[in-house]
Amino acid sequence: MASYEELANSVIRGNAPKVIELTKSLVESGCDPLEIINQGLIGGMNVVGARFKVGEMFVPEVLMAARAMSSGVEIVKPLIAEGDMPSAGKVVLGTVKGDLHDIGKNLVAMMLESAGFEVLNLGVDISPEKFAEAVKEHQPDVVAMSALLTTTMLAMKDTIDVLAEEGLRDKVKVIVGGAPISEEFAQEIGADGYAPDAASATELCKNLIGQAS
Amino acid sequence: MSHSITELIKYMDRAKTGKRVTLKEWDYEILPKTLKEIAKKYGLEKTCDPKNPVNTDLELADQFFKAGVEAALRLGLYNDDTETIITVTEEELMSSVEAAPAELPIGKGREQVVIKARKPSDGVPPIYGGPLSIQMNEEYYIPLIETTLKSRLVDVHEGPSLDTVYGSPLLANTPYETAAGFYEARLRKEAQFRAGRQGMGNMLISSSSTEYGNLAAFSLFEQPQIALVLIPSALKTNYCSLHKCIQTLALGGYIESGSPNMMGGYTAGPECSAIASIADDLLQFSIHQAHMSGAPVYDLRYSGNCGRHALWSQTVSTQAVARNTHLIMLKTINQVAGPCTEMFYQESIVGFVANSASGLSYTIGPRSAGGKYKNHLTPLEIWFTSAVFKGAAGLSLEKANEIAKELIPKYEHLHANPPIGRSLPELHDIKTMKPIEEHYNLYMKMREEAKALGIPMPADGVLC
Repeated sequence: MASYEELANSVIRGNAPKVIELTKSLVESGCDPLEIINQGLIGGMNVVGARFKVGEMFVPEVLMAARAMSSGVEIVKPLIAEGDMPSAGKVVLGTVKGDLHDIGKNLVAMMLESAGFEVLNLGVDISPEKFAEAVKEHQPDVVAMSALLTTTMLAMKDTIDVLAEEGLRDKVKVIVGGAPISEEFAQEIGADGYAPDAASATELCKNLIGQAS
Repeated sequence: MSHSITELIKYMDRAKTGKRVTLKEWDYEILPKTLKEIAKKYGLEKTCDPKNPVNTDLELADQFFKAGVEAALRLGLYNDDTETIITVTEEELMSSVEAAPAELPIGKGREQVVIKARKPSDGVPPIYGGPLSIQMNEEYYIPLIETTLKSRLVDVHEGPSLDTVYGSPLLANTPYETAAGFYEARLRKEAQFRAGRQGMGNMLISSSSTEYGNLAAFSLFEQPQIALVLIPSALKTNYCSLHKCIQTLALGGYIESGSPNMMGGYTAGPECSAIASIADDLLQFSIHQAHMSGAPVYDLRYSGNCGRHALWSQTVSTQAVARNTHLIMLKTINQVAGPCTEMFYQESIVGFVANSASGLSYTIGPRSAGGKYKNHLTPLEIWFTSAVFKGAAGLSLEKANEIAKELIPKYEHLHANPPIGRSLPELHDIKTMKPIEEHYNLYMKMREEAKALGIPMPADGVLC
């Protein structure tokens, strides 16, 4: 019989066919689908996240691992009642108005999804009003904003202001990141947190959601 | 034919007919897989030696060059706006590289300098442009630049950048950017006049990254000046960049274009990032009709390149292009520590020596405090980095590697949480621009340390 460790290792290697084979084997052996996800699939991705953070793995390998994990989740998902599907939380994510850069934002999306978050990636050049609409519609735990330019980072404060005007600010945590952003800037504009990199963004979301609950 | 709008339009036309792929396909599939295949084909996998952060194996650099040429031909540049790939033929790539200038004179009269292509361990000092586009209060712009330009260690004027125009926030893709182009150009002229540097060359424009600011600023200077065409990310272009290229060619300026290759991102590890950097350098001369390229390698973990892996990747890719072409390259050296910290000076010695010895023609700097903190930029860091860059001309790669091995262990543990130092008004009297004693003493001490490491340090002409 396949083991959770083998499954996690296949996720780490990004070997999707093997992940499918092992996941099916574990399901057929009667293993708990939630355990397959938590111990095998997400367990593997947690290792990937840690290795990415210290520079032992790079984006292409993380991507392959994330895809391998997803192929396993697709097999197990129908066996779990909708409400029981593990979710670390919901995050609305976007690059702010006027800014078309997306490498950092997409990395954050990928790392969050891999860590079990539900991610709504709004894309680039997202106006404060669009962020507010997304918050109303999807009721996320966290709004994550990215900016690469000093001329666009100011839109982060505008977004926070619009969330406040719409009465939404107290309902979500707001985090910011991007090359010109610092912890001090995050505090200055009234964000709840700042993440210097994609792996830290995942930890930050976990911490903020943990505090809120 | 080089530097022609008709050639540029030929490549723009190709964006309309090129292979259509989504951004995700390009970033997640095509780019990383192609680079990986090429690295394997040329036997370059796991060639990065972090124990020797400056590459000294020039045959390896040549092998990287071959891989970079193949990457340029197989990949081309992805146009974000059309979601298509602009490819070039081997003949187009090679003829544009052949036709590229090996020397670019910039500035007028006694302010003229010539930016020249260099080889590894070249005895000709490279050219330094400064300061980098770090955010600065409007009221500090002229005092900072007037003082900075009093030193002839700064050959070309680039930054800093403003985040307000006449007190109003400078917002992207709005008329504020056009206003910033005119405004910054006027501030530049005033500061250069006060420093006695009228006629010096400029890189335009720091406060606006779009075509709006570029056009505004170019209209106020006698040409040629250099346009900074920063493409969205590795091996990409977009209409904003192409707008700037057309404006610059039509107005008689020089195009510098390229983008950082983010090691740890889509271009993966140090080897694949070096291949991408070489391809990025080469493609600028055809698709963007560039006069010089700018494709540094940054480590995604700390957004700098004075650590082992990024330094190795940047030195091997610079050596590859320098040895096999006569292209003029500009690459930035990114510190993460801030003004008046020992770490800043140590990172600077490592980065500027390694790049100067590897054959870099030109740089703009410094990126003190990672460029994240407003007003964290003073003349002393600018002069120091230029002195190291120029002083390292003629040093061997082995010597550069020795220096890197000695200094990197002193700061690499701080990459994730570097000291940000202090701001201009904390370190200088803004009225007289005199540095506080601690700042002056550290500068002089670190100049002596650089000399003790074997780097001849040219005088700044102001404090020493």
